[in-house]
Amino acid sequence: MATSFKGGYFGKLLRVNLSTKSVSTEEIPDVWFEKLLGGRGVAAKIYYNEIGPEVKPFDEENKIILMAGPLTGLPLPAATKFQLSTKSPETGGYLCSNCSGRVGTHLKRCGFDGMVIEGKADAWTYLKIEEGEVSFCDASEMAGKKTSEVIDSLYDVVGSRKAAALTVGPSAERLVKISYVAVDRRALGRGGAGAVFGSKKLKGVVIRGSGEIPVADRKKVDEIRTKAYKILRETRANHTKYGTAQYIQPINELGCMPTRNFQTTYFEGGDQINHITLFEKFKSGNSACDRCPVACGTIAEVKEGPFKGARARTEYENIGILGANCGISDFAAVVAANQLCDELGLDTMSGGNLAALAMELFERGLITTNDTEGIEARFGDGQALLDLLTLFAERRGIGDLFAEGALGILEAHPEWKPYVIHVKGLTPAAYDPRGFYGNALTYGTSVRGACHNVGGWTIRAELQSGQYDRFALEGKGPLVMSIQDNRAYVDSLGICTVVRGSMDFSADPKGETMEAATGYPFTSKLIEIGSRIYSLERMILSREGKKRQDDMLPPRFLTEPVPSGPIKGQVLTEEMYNTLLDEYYNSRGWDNEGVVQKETVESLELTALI
Amino acid sequence: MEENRYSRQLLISDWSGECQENLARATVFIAGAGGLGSSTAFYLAASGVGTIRICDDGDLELSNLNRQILYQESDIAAPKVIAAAERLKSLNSTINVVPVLKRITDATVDDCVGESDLIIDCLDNFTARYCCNAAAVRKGIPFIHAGISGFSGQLTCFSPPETPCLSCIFPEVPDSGIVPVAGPAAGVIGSLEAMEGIKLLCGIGNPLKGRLLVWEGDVQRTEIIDIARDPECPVCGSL
Amino acid sequence: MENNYRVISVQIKYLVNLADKAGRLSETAGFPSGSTLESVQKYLQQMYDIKLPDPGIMTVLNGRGWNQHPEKMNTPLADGDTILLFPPIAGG
Repeated sequence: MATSFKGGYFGKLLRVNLSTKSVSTEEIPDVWFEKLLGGRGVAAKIYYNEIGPEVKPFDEENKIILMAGPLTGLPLPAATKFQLSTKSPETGGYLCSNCSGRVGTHLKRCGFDGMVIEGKADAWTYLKIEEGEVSFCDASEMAGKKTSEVIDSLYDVVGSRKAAALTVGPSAERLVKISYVAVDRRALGRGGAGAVFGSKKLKGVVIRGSGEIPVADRKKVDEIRTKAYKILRETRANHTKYGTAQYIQPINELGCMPTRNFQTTYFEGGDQINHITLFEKFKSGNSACDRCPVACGTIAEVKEGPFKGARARTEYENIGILGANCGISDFAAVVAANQLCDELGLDTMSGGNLAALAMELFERGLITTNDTEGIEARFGDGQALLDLLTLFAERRGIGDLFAEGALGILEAHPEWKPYVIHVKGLTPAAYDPRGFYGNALTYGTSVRGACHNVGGWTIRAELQSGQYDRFALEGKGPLVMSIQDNRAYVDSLGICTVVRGSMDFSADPKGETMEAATGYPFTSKLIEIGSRIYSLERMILSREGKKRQDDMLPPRFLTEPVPSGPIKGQVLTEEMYNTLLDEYYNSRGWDNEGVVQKETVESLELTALI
Repeated sequence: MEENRYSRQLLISDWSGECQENLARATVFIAGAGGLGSSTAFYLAASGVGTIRICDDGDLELSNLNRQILYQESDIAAPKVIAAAERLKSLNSTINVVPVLKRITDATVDDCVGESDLIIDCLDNFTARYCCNAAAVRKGIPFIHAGISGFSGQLTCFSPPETPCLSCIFPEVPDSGIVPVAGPAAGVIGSLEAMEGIKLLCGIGNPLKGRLLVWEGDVQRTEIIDIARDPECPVCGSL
Repeated sequence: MENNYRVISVQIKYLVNLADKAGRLSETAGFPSGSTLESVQKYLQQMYDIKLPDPGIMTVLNGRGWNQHPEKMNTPLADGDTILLFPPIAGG
């Protein structure tokens, strides 16, 4: 091992160049892991070093960074996450993305903490990495095929499904900027990372390793796992039964559900797409990520009707956006749309949000059937949703413009600004910030654009815990910061956020698990590391020219009062948002423009790392 | 103390004290700690096999628990053979259980098998089966082969040159991906494997040598098919 | 004198998934005298789209694999022969 840690890390990075077909390995210094943990933190550092502000997403100079965490692949529940970092085609800026497919586990079983893919292939290629040996293989047979087919072919290549298979769909081949990356049965959903693969003519990666991943104190790790399992059985029973769909009902009842392109925040068809409907009429099974006993993935199958045969792994976001935000109460259509996105290669969230935009524009008469190749793009029409998504994936009609993402749409039609809902180019998640103001900061200050994961999931704190007034302005800055930092370090460890509490990775962690895994006393430094990572990412944003104005919310959130539903009349003004933002920047130690101040760089011990 | 543990089997007329000593002296290699491996390992451990080498490179997943009864829910994420070894030792603390945390390939199989007297096939793919078959031929030890699918299973004892080897009768089996399995099929065939193992090690009963058992649990039909060596078999033809 | 029009009665048993393909567990099929395993091959292809030989299907004649009969697919059939078809069962 190149590293002095007793477990979890290898200290080795694999570098693969598609232009020159060359492969090299290099060491990752221990201090990067000590300061940034791994996963998202170390990927951010590599991005900082190697992807400058002048690099554009489809340039040869853009890179794909894949990074496992110290706990990835260890015998702990849901210790299977890895991170991707690249310049996003959808936003034009920094992207970090989290996934529980097996790439991280198998890279580590090959002896690597991560991999950087550079350059561009001259013809469709897939990478085969077996026990660390890299081959550049001809992917011409895979081009144009749907993601599930290619994933199966990749398993065939190594003769086993106990491997990591990654692919991008036909939409990515057409450089559709909202294309996702499929990994085994999971996804790197946001930011259009799939199109980066498309621009590099990289159709897939399959990795198989069988080496052992060292663990410092195996006995202690076993105790932690046994204890974690008991905790999860009690605390995550609803996740197993209903999946994350359990949030549809409360979010809707509280008037925070994006409805018809965020025009309002309560969906009258909510009962028809909630967890009860899912459980009683559509659920056909649970899907677990590797090594996870919770199995929150709910498989939905449509048994009758026009969408008969549709089958997809549903979750809150997909149901909220493909359902409520498109005005669709037909759960079968939501499942069909989910599956269509998965197979064609589209991010379900940006795909659904842009379809909702198309529906609003159509209903306002701003686009017509001439633009939509005959589709009557109306809210509530499931078939129209499917047809619009296909239009985007195939770049037909106005799909060619929508394939450029929110920023591309606005560049061509600045007059549509009132209707295009995004922050930094990324469309939001299935929460309306007018319903809880911490969420406004979540969307505004997430380092990758409007995102509830990276930006801080404040639902429990603001809507369920009773400890916060959701419409208060004070106190939201520090709250959002602490959730962001917690998530930043969890994303760097390689475990899933759903299980983090069972291993004591809360806001005040004791570091026992990390010490058992790596032998290094990360005790109580973890939340600081989260802060450090977040500010490092903010420095990347500053270097890419992002300022306070890029943390602004779209006009719909800052000027339109909620027209109906449980929070009818609620308004979040620009002045209120600026108050929130000022408090947040202050908590962070950033200046008025959101630039990380010198004292903060020093106090976070970032000086040596940049 | 040990005699009390085994007293019920010692009452079987063919199962002498010498049989029990044979078992105690034996080392059995169980290839695969999954559905078949669970029953095979449980019954061999219970019967008093002296050393069990149990081999698998996987971690326990939720979807294993419909048939891999060696494990508990709290073992999810743990390497299977580590959990298996603990479970088997809690059933019979007087035997040795050696977890072999390795993937079986041509390069690793001889080390994995080590000094075993018998290899038992509890695998889920023919690629690894062929490795074990070749190792058994090299080491001159018997290879109990089995497979399950749905409600069905097959089973035989390979011991060339007396019997065919795996490659004589199944020279080239295509990869089958994920095989659907009903739990009891794993239980039935895995238990039969343990029984065949005991018969071979003790020299009792009529092991399935030169005979392939095909059992269909859903319609309850059993066929026993005579199988013969292929004299030109690339693996055992020279024996 | 040999009757050239005698029918050879052969029992064919379909095991595991071959029973699904054939839609039956077993049958008695008649073949003209002089037929070989190749005739059975044609019959199975025409009736059930089962194509032999196939590395995924084991064909057993009177308890021995087809490739262990010296004449392989040209092995002549006799009245009362039994043929079993089954897949190598791979799971574990």
